[in-house]
Amino acid sequence: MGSLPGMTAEPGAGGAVAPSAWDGHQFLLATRTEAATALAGWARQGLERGETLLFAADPAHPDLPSLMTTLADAGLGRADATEAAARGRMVVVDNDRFYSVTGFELLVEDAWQQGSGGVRACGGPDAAAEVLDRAGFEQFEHMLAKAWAVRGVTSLCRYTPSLLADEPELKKAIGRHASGWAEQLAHLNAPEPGLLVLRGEVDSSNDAFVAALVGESVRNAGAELVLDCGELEHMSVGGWRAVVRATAPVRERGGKVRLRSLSPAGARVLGAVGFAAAFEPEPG
Amino acid sequence: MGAGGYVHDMALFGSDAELRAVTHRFIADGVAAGDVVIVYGPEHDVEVLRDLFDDDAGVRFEPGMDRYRHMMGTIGEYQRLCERETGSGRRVRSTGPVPFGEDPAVRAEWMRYEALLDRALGPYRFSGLCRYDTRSTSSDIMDLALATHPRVVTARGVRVNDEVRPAPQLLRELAPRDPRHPLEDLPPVLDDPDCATEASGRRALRRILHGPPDPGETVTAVSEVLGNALRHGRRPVRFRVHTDGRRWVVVVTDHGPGMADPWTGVDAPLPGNPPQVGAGLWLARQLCDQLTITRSAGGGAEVRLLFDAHR
Repeated sequence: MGSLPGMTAEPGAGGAVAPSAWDGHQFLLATRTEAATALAGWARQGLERGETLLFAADPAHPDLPSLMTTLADAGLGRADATEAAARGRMVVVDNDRFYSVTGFELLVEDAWQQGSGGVRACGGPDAAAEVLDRAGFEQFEHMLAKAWAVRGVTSLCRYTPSLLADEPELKKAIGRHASGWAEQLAHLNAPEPGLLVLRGEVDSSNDAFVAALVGESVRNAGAELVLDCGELEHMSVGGWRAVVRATAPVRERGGKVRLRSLSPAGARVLGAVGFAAAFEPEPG
Repeated sequence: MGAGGYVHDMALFGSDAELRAVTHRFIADGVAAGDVVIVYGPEHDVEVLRDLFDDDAGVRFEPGMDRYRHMMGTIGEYQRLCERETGSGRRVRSTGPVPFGEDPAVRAEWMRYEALLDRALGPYRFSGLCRYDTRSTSSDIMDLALATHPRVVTARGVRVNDEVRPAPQLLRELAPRDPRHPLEDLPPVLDDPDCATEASGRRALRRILHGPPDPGETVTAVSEVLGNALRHGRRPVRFRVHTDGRRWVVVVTDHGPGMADPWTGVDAPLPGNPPQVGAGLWLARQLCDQLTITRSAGGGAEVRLLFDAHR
C-alpha cells in the first residue's frame, strides 16, 4: 500500500517552514493498519521540521518502542526515530495526560521550552474513549482546533472507517476539522477559506466521503470556491457527479466554482460527461 | 419520431443528380429552421452538395469521416452536440454515409451503430439522413440499412419502409458469436483472479501500460468497469489483460447475476438526459475502441475493452 496522497515531506528552505498539506487540525479515516503508512509519512515530515511529535497511547502502541517498530515497518527511518526519541522529540503520552486540556497544553508548553521547531499531535476517539465521554472528546477536539489557530499546533485525529455508517456523526466529525481530511485514497485540505485542495484518487469507494468534504467547504465558502486539482490523480464519473452536486449550493446562490490546475486528461473526462459547465474557468 | 423529435432516415442515390435530389430538402429545411446542419462524407459528395447550396454559411460542410473514427465515440460526439444545441433550441441534422468498410469486425461494429442510434439519440432533437450509394452498397449492408431506417428517401420521394425491424432483435443478431478476442490466445500480461478494489486495479494497470494508447484514458476506462463489477457484481472479480504491444484487451469478469442489458452505457448520462445507470460504462465506451458486455461461463458479467494504439 502506498502512502496517503500529500504525505511526502516538504522541507523548509533556509529555516523557513514551507506550508504543508498536513498543517492544521486534520481528520484521518483509516484502520490502524492503513494509518501506519500515513503516520510514518506524517511523522517524517514533523521530524524534518524539527518538531516534537506527541502520540496518544493506544492498545497497539502503548509505548514508544512499539510505536517506533510500527512506524519503521511503515517506512520511517529507524535511526531518525531513535534520535528523535532520545532527544524527547517523539513521545507516546498516556491518555490521561494527552486527552486533558490542561495536560495537553503543558505538553505543548514543554515542547516549546525545549526549543522544538513546532508541535504535532496524533490521537483519536478510540483511545480517548478510555478517559473521555463523547462530549468530553468533542471539547478536546475544539481545543485542538484552537491550538492550531492560536499556537500553530498541528494535529491528526484518526477515526475508524466504521464511522462511515453513521452519517450524522461523520458529518459532525468532518465539521470539527476545518484544516483537512483524508482517507486511504484521497486527501483534501483547506489552506484558506474558499480554497480546497484535492489530492489522490476518487472512485466509487470514496466518492460519498469526498462529496461530504466538498459539502463542508461549500458551507464555509463565500461567493467563490476554488478546487485545486493539481495533485488529483484520478476522478471517476461518480466522483465528478458527487462534486458537481456538492458544489451546487455555491452556484445556486449566484457564486462560482473554479477548477485550478486540472490535468488535460481530467479536463477531457469532465468535458466528455458534460460536467464542465458546472465550473468556471480559472482566470489567467 | 421520438419524444425529443428524433428522426433517422436513409437516402438512396446512384448519381450526383440523385444525391442532390435526396438531400436537398433535408439540408434546405435545416438551413431555414436555423438548425445545426452537418454534411460529411467522401470529398466528391460533399463538394457536390456544397455547390448545390453555394457554400451556405449555415451548413457545416465536412469532407471526410473524422466524426466516424469509432462507433461509441461517434455516438458520444452526437450526444454531446445535441445536448449543447438543445439548450439553445436548435435541432442537429447530419447527413452522410456510415463507414462500414471491409474488415468484418469493423463492419459489424458500424452495423450495430445503425441499430443503436434510435436508442442513443432518441431523447434528442436530432435528424439523421444516412446516405447509401446504390452503386457500391453490398446486399448485406442494404438489408441492414432497410432494417434500421423507418423511411427511405429516393429521387422519386419519401416512402415508409416496411422492412424496418425492432432494434433489440437486430442487435441480438449482430452480437458477436464468440466474444473472445484473438489476443486472448496470448498469455495475459496481467491476471488478478480477485481484484479487491478499483485502486488496486489501477495500480496494477499503470505498472504494465507503456506508450499509446493513452495510459490515463485507458486506466480511467478500466477503473469505471472495475468499479461497476465490484459495486454491482459479486466477488471475486477477475481482471486480466492481453496485448500484442499494439492492441490491448482488458477482460473484467464478476460472479454476480450478469448484466441484463448488454448495451448499458449507450444512453447519454449528460445533464439534459440523466439516466443514472451506466454513466461509468458510457465513459468507458467513449475512451476505448470497443466495449462488449456478455455473460461469463459462470453467469456473471464479462466486460471486454479493446484499446488500439493505432486508432
